[in-house]
Amino acid sequence: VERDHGPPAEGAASFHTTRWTIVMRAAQSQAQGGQSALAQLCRNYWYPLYMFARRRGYSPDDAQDLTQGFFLHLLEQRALAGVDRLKGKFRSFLLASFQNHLSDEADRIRRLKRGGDKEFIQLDAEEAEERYRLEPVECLTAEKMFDARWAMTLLAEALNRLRQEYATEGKTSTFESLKVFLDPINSRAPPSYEEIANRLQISTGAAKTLIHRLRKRYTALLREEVGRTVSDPAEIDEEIHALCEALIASEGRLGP
Amino acid sequence: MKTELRRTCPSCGHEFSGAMEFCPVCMLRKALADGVDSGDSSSEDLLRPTSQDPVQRFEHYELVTGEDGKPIELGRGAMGVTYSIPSSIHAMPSAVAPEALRTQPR
Repeated sequence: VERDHGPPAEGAASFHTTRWTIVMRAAQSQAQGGQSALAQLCRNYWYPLYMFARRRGYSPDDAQDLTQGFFLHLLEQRALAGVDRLKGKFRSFLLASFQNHLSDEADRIRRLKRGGDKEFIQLDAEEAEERYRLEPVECLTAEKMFDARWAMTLLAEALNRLRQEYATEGKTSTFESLKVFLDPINSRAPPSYEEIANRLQISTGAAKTLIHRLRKRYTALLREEVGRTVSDPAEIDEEIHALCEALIASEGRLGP
Repeated sequence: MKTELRRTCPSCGHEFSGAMEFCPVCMLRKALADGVDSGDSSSEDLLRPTSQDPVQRFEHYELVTGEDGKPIELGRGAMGVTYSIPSSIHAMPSAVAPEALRTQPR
């Protein structure tokens, strides 16, 4: 039973330094923390790269090996050594580096596979292919698909984090009841405030407050998630605009 | 993704997958610096539409939205539904009836 319906406590960590900045600084100074920050970024955003490789015509096995090999390449910081300025977005860096990697490594892919029980992240090949089969490969370029899929991955990651925060506080059912209000105008059958209040056994006013806080927390997490991929928090809005443009360019062809 | 599975967001006008619960463009835009709510507010504050309320769009019109995220309805009639638009756009309180516009002959 969820007695306390209030929102979960918000993370105390402020975001003066972005995760991408930590990676770049570590690459330049051999400081601690770079690899774990990079690993987390890559775990969250590997699928857009896999999809890009598939769209470029690589087989599922090759796309998986190339993505895996690319992350190993990054982990060893050979690629990051070339980053000499604390500027740029992680998304742009990743795609440009991956394109270079594809041209450099395609002929060595089988050797990597034979050599390799080294894995940087766990790729679920079946799930990746299942998702890729639903992608609108005939309509969009690999680059457009990558950017739009990146945006969708980022939105999903922020929602996952929000769900996890509520789950940690034992408020999963509160989250599931309220999440429809994150974008009620596009909900097919949004419940009324009264229905939500009855479901959660709270007053209508309290339900409205919870909805407000849920939205506020989601936008904060989304902003934080974008902030992890830029080199300066001041670039967050610019990146959000770029991601919106990518979604619009995809003409709504990408699924969740 | 098949075309028929796409739908159009009534707020921003962009298409998105019908398999999605949210319009991704609207969700991202809410995270822009001027779209993030910066303080706690009571439920009473939420009920009162003010110039601080988030604004959504219908084509090139901006619509004032209430706490539930839906455009604030001013009335309904034979020509459609009338919604509130920000008073900052015009000196006087104003309204637009998107449903009527949608059905007008071009």
